Amino acid sequence: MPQLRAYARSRVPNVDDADDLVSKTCVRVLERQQQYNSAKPLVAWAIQIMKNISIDDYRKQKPMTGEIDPNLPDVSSNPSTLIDLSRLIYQLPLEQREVLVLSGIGYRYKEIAEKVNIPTGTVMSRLKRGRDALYELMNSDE
Amino acid sequence: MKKFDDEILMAYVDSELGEEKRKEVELFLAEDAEARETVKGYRQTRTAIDKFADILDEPVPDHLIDTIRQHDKQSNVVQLPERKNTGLRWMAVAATLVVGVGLGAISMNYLEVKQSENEASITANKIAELSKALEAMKVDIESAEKNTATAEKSAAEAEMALAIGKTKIDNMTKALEIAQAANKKAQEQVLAVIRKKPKEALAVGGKNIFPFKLVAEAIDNGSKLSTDMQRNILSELNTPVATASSFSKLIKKSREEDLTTGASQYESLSDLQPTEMKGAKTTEQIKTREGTLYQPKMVKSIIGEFSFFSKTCRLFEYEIPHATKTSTLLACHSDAGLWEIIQR
Repeated sequence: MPQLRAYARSRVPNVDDADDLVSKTCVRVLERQQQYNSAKPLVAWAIQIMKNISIDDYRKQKPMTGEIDPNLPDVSSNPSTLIDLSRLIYQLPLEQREVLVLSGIGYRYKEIAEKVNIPTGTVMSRLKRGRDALYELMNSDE
Repeated sequence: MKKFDDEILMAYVDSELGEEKRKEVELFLAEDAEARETVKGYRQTRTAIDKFADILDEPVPDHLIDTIRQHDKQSNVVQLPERKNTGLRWMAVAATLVVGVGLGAISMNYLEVKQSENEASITANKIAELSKALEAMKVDIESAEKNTATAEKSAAEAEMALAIGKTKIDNMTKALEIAQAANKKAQEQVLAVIRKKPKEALAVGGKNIFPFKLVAEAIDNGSKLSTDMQRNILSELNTPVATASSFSKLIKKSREEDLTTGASQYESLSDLQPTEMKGAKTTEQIKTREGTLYQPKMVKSIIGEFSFFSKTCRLFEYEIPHATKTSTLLACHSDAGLWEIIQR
């Protein structure tokens, strides 16, 4: 669940919304546990479910990607906290955010590819672009 | 110097490169200042995104756990999974979802199912082990029973053989004792007769047809029979003496009386001469291994003859030159062999 919560942060800026997404994902996982293929990582399956839930919500015009918590302080330079970092990455596309978060919580390139269901090369290119963009954001006001 | 693109430099920072590639990049970085700047930027973003790891250490909100628990109660998921491995997979799903939250976040129903499965598995394993051990014990017991039966059979046979052996030994011992007693009695009787009543010796000796009577008569007629000769004769009597075929006629006359009463019917030495010996030359030589021992003139008469252990024995009366008395001599020979003096 901690990994799911971290990944959810890459999809929705608000912490509560992220936890709601995690909650929905867990319920969906539990409901569909008989469909789970134990040969594959559970987190990858759960992340896929979470992505599907996000897409469904978008289609239902109930996007969970709401506004960033208004109480969070505005940061535009080097993030000293997780909140600072979250504000910065939400200026990046989702495909870059998700690989940045997953890399940030410790997954290797190959593991990220497995969980997001994309090739390792794609992970590297997305991560590179995300890192480049993050770098620009971090250093834009300096 | 080989150049490396930014993705490789990022991978270098993220420790995703192999050892060889990493060394190559380091050599490249040592020569390329621009690449070093790029790496510096990736290190900066690396430090930034590493903060996402803090999420892993955040406590899972109670409302999130409650949501899962509520779902658990509503879904009544205690029903046993239909697929064989569903239970384990189910537990894996639930357990993985609550990592970092604690087992309290997981459905107790799932835990109970898992625990039941584990206990059932352990019990089944124990039953299997015990069954295996029991089977092994049964085999051992059967083997032991077979061995015991074989041992008992062997013991019974041995006991029977021992009993038979003991019986045989007892019988042999008894027979030996009887034989020894009889022999001893016969010896004592012979000794007594020889010492006290020499003439009754033949009757007492029974089937031992040794010419005690002849010896006795020879003694009576003046011949001497040394005590050593007597002892030798008695010693020989310990073994049954062969029938003296040439002596049969000699004893024919008084066999019944001799064997039953022991009384002597012989009156004189001439009556005791064997039939075939009657008229025999008394000048027969006695040749020994040492040569002709006695000159013909020395042998006065042949007192008697008998067979003894396949040998022909004769009791001679002879005269010693320049001596005033005659002496007796017992000599035996087998087939054409030389005479062997047994006793003078």
